Amino acid sequence: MAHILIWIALAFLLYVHVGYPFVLLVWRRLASRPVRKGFWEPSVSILIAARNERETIEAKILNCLQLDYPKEKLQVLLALDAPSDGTEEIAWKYADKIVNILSFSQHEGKAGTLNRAAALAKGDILVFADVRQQFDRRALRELVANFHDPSVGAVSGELMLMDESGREAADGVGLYWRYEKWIRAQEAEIHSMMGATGSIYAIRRELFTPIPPDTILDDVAIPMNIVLRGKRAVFDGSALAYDQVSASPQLEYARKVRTLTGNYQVLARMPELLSPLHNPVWLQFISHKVGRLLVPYFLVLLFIANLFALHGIYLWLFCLQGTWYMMAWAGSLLSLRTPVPEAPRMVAVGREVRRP
Amino acid sequence: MTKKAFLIPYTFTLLNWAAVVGLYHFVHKTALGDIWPEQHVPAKLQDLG
Repeated sequence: MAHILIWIALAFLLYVHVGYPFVLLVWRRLASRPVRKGFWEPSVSILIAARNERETIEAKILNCLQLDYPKEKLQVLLALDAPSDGTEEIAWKYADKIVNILSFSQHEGKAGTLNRAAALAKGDILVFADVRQQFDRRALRELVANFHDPSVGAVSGELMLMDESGREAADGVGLYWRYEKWIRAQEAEIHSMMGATGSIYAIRRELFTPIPPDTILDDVAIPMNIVLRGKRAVFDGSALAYDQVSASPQLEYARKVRTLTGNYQVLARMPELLSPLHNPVWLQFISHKVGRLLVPYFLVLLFIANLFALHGIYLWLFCLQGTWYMMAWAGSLLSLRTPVPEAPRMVAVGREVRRP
Repeated sequence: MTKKAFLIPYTFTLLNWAAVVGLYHFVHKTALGDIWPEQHVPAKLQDLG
């Protein structure tokens, strides 16, 4: 019995982490659907929901105004969710024909704030952005070019996590993020990604439907709604936004908990995603999103089942697992001993990143 | 390089554990819906111990 459970758990874990990426690789080779990008200039509304962002709001507004896009076709909608730290006063200094401030006195949360901002957006394309991350100067043009292809309903840009030296991070969190981006890119070339990057994504305005105000992951709910309506949600690695990599795995863990809680919420609220009859990217959704949620339980199953089969090849497997978890434990000690640096604010200039 | 070799399994294990904690939050309706992340999420996680 233990042997069967071990092989079931191993097969599942290998499929999620190795088999599925391999399936994507082969699938993409056989049936890639490249996006027919075309450079055009529709009207664009950048929606930024913010709460207490006194430290970063000014840099974000300036970043939006420096984007390579005709100003007469650009609207920056800054939706402030009842800020209490002076964010509003700073934002109002920039209010003009391009920068529109929507200040709500009633605290609504991010999703509710986005709903209200979207209702007032004038652009044909809605671009969603967070305050903290900076857009590359050409990011908007690259995003918008994807909508030249009528099958595209949503586009995600690429978030570059930079380390302290200004290079793309390649430590534990950075590597994980690179792996995740690679998966998304493959999925998008076949049909659609299973969500977008919250700090840089865009949709056609006519495809926006308000989301429940307590939605945790707007960047999954909005694109997946669009996919369920028959359009593609694609990934464009040339539309870049920059952020500082989490100073420690613990900070990334906090973010990940929120993301995974949000994935459970998406499953509960959009059960049609679990149906191959309704979801055109059903296999990818099950393999990527649902598979990831189940991985820890299969890891536990593998470890416990292995305890009941400590001979031959299974003993080697147990030693491998033991070594892995010992290394993880040592990694946690190393991580705790390393002082957590304060994340510096970054300014993106073209493809370079420098600190002020 | 040595540190990285230890941080990779740690990050992998930690991020997998996040799925279990995520389920806890979802089931207990502490769904972290109010996401202005840096201010709110760590506080709730600390509450979990």
